Amino acid sequence: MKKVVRLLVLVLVVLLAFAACNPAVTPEEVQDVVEDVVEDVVDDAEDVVEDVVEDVEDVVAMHTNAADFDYQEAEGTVFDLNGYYNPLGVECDVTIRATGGTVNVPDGMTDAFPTANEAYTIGFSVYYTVDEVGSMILDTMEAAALEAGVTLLVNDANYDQNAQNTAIEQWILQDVDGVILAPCDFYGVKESLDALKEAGIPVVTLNPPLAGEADAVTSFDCVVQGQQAGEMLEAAIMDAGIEMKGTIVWQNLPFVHPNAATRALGFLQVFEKYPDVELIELTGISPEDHYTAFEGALAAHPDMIGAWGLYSSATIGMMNAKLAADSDVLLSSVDNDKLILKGIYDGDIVGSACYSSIWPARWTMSQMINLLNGVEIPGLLYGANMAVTPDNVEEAFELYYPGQTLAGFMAGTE
Amino acid sequence: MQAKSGVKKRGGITVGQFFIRFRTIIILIVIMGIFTALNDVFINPINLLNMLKRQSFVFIVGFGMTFVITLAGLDLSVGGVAAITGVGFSMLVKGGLMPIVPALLIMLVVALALGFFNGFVSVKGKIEPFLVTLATMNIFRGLALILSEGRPTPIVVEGFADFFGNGKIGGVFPTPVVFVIVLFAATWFLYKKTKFGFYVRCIGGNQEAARVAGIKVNFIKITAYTLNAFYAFVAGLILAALFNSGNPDLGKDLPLDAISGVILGGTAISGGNGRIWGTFGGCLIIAALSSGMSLLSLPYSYQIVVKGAVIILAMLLDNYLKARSNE
Repeated sequence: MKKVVRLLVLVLVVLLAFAACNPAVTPEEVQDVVEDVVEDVVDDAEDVVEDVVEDVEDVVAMHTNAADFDYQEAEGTVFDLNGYYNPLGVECDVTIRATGGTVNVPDGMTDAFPTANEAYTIGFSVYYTVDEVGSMILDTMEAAALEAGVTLLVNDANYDQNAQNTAIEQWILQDVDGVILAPCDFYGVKESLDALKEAGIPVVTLNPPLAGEADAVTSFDCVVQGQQAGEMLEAAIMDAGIEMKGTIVWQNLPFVHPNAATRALGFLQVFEKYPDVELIELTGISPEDHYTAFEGALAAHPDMIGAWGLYSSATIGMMNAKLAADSDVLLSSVDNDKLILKGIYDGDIVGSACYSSIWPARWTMSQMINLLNGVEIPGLLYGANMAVTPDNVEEAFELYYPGQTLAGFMAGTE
Repeated sequence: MQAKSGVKKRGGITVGQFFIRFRTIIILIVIMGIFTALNDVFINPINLLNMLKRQSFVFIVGFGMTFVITLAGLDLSVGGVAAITGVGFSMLVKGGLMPIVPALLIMLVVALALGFFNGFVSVKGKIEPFLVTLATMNIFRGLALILSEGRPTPIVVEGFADFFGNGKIGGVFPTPVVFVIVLFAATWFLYKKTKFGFYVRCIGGNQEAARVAGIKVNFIKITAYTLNAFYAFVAGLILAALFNSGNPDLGKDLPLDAISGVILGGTAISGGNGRIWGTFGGCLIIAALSSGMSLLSLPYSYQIVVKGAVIILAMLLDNYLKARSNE
């Protein structure tokens, strides 16, 4: 303001001097000129103030939970999901629209959960709810919607992409403001993503699709999960004084799943440096499949020094086969099913790469609310992975199953 | 007798007969009325067309299944045939390996061969079709997994997805719905107006009598299973187009959904008495239930309970009305 006043005074002095040197100009004319100049200066000053206010507003309209962002790729960049998956033999043709970079986020939020600027209606389609993980995701999403002040329409697709696509077509007819979806079929979801794009409805996915366009994706770095599982097994073998020589059996799905392919990559990398270790892959879908396969492997490979279950059904089947055969082979895992955490506590599993079902759901809703509020959001948000061993298994249980304890679960009271 | 049973004559048929004849459409109207009352988006024409598109493959397999069930058989392998069709086609056209038409023809021959295998083993091996197709359901699914090495193969051939899945005629009618209508007309003609259809009904009604009458029972049965595989082939292409990939996992629920539609439509599971219109209506009921429950955000666990309950109630109503009508 001082600058403006000084400028005014300066202009006035110049004008008066000019007037003094030019007797033909009357004092009234001088006054008019001065008034015009003052008016112009005031207008300019108002424009400057408005610009500053807009800039301040832009700064304020940051992601409400940005305090927890650990940037893996800077703002303004878009994660190359295709470059991540295609080298693994998983064909991917996805465009992520948000340019807010790639961030790691913790299991928790420092700042408050965002509040919707308007009464948005958001559709949420989850791949499955009829298990503990699925129902926790759904419960979390419903609670987060309530907290944000939005209406949530829910679709339980039960791994049926057709059902998911049906719901999304119906939500488009209902003019929802945004859609959050966990794809059932990573390619089949493209039809929905295309339809949402055509309708101009923003979409955030929980797990990445392999075709189509999304504003943002919430996921986990599954390569890291595989690495954690491999390193826990490696450490356990070394701690047991076992020579790194022999077979390691690992169990996978019989079909290519993007999370499985990336986990496998991370695990196999850990053991690349041991030329005398042979890695044998077996496949199955249900715990029974994995039990049977591992039972056979235990008999067929007496030189087995370790084993890995790539996902929960594999580990649960393998752990039970190991117990039935009274084998002490070292087993590591990915996933945080209660039975796996109990297995870690009991010493039947050396450790598992775990991740929350609750926090990614909450982070995904935060992303959607921020996006609808007009804030730039990260294009890819990675949830936290944790290497869970006997040392931290009880704490992990309480993190992943709030309000419950491992002791209570083992006693059958929870 | 009529007074005792409370069944009155109306236009030459009793009320009971009226309900039996039109039970599928009555159930359909009731279901659609309920869903419309609960959420008016249900009756939106776009939603109704989407509903037909989403269940188009069930309709199509239901048409083929009507022949098989009329013969007192069952085919549980149609999902596997559909999966092999999608996977095989996607692999044949991948990277421009082969143009669309030859790839389609090759997969058509493969699908017909699988259907022929079902019929041939059942007839010549004298094994119940249920057991044969229970086995081939797993074999075909396994072959689809082996062929694809478990990898869904994206289909990026121009025009395929629009023609079979996501295209719209006149910007309104989804192409799968057009497939349903064309195949419905062709199937109705085949079933009601040709010797083949007549023989199928004769064999289903009384196999020995049909044999004595000179009908080539084995030939007709094998043909029916081969024909059924043709419908599964078309369904497989639609599924692959809708989901943009040849996925070995597709079509798992297809046999049971199609059988439910056929049974809801009034075709007797014991054979002999089939209705193509009924199958259409039965599949519409399945489609309306799926669409309506999705619109109401009903959890999956409730959805399967409702679907099962509707099928049982429809069967009970059917039996009750038939019994009343016969009194």
